[in-house]
Amino acid sequence: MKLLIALFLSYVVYVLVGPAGFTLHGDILSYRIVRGLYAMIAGSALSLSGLMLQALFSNPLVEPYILGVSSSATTGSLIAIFFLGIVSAPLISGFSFFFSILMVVVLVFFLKKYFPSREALLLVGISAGSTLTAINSIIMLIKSRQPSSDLLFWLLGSLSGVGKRELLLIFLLLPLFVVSLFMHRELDLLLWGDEAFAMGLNQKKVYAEVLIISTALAATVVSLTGVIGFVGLISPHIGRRIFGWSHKKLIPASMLIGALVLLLSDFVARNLLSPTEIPVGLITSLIGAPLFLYLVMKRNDF
Amino acid sequence: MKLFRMFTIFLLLRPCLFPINVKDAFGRVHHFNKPPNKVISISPAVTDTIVMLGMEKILVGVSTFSELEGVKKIGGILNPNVEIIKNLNPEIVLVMQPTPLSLIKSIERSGVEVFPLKEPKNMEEIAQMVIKLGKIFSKKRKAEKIAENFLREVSPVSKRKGKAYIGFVEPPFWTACRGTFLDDLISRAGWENICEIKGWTALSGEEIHIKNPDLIIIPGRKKKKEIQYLLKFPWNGTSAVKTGKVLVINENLLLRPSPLISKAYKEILKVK
Repeated sequence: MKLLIALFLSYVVYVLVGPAGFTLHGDILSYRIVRGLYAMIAGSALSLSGLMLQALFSNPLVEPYILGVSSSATTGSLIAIFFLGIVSAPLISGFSFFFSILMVVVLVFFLKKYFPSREALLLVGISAGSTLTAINSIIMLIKSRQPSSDLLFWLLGSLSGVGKRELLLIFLLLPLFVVSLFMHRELDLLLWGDEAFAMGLNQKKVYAEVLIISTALAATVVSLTGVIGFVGLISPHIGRRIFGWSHKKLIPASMLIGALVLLLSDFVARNLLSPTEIPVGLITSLIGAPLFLYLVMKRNDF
Repeated sequence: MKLFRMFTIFLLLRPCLFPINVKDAFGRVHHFNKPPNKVISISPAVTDTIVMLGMEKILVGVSTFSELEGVKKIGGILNPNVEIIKNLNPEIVLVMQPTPLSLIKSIERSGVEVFPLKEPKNMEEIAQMVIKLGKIFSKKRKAEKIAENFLREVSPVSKRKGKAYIGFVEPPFWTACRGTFLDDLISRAGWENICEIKGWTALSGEEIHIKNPDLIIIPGRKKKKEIQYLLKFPWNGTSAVKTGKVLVINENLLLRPSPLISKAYKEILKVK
């Protein structure tokens, strides 16, 4: 409840104060309302994705992009921009979404093949991700021009391109949020390890569900905003410190914390060096990394 | 007697002839015994200027971004291939700041002389660059003429026409602000830059919307690509979009500080 109030208050401040100062100017206000909502939904999606993957792999260092979703999304957009010469922004997003979903399909295939080894899945994801990152660098090295602002957008993650259309797209995530709220029992079981599944839950089905939902969440956000790091890593950790281990509380809490973290980061990104805007991905890493270190140093969990 | 007079004339002319010493952007002195006739240019703006001087036959290598046909491409501006450069065995490599120092060092370590030129911050400095290149290539007359013509073509107008935005319209909005050659270009054309900080920056959308530019100038290749962004915040509702004062100028023309930019200037002058 306190979290909800904090989030609401932050949102009000976010909408009222920006680089243009305290203003009630119609266009700017509506832009901030959309962008704020967007930041909150994207933040909770990333956080939820991180939480689910951390449970799936019983590993605190896992984050939404570890399975290569972000690199394949970037590959998609690079192919669209450089090889197909696509100039329409929604189409480029569509391409990157298609590629990251392709990545999910590949992962599910490997999940089936190496079941029940979760480590194999992790390794497949990481190696596919690094391969694609290398390919991306090569494409950019050959094709990019200076200053290539559209690439910067992808690499650093930014919410500045947000409009009402993007907001509508991200609302498609809401059903996934609802579904995941009911998955707390399965996530709890995942932490117990393989023995827990002796009690009758379909292990393969749970793995696949968690994998698909979490990567779909991350893929959608990445394809619309570029790579915003650390939100999906630290938000579940903060949640665990406050609310403990039970996923029944942890799922909604992590989502709220993720929303709060990205909203505040974007607030900083917009206002810190105003009128220059910093890509929000830089801020989340700047704040997120030391915060993560602090949490690890004070750890009494994992 | 006649012979003596010719000798005096030769002595008087001597400072204009070779050998000469020319200072580069870092203040280092380069010594030229004769005009170099095997040159690599990594900067497209410098390449364009050399072509204007009529010296393209001395170019043995240019960057991938240059449109010059029939010359070996030596890689990008920030990542040229040092081996290819060395292999072409040029007398000098011309680069323009902000080429990273580490890159200049690594080319020099391979035994090739590098001449960094200062990045022009306004039209006068573009003219100075032309004259400096003319000096190196022993084309002083022609260079002076080009520089003079160029400065006449971009001579400032006195009429103030309003506020302009010059930069990219896709996020993050990379903007040419004060102290860039593009800022000088639009202020000569009678437009005031809406961005008041120094250098290039990613301006926040709200700032752009509040400043409400009367003219938007976009470096681009495909008009269709740029126009789609104008329907969205922060461009929608600005005076420039409402009155249709939006210019898309080929980025190969607009982003290169060479005398060719006078063509872009003419296009900007057309907007009243």
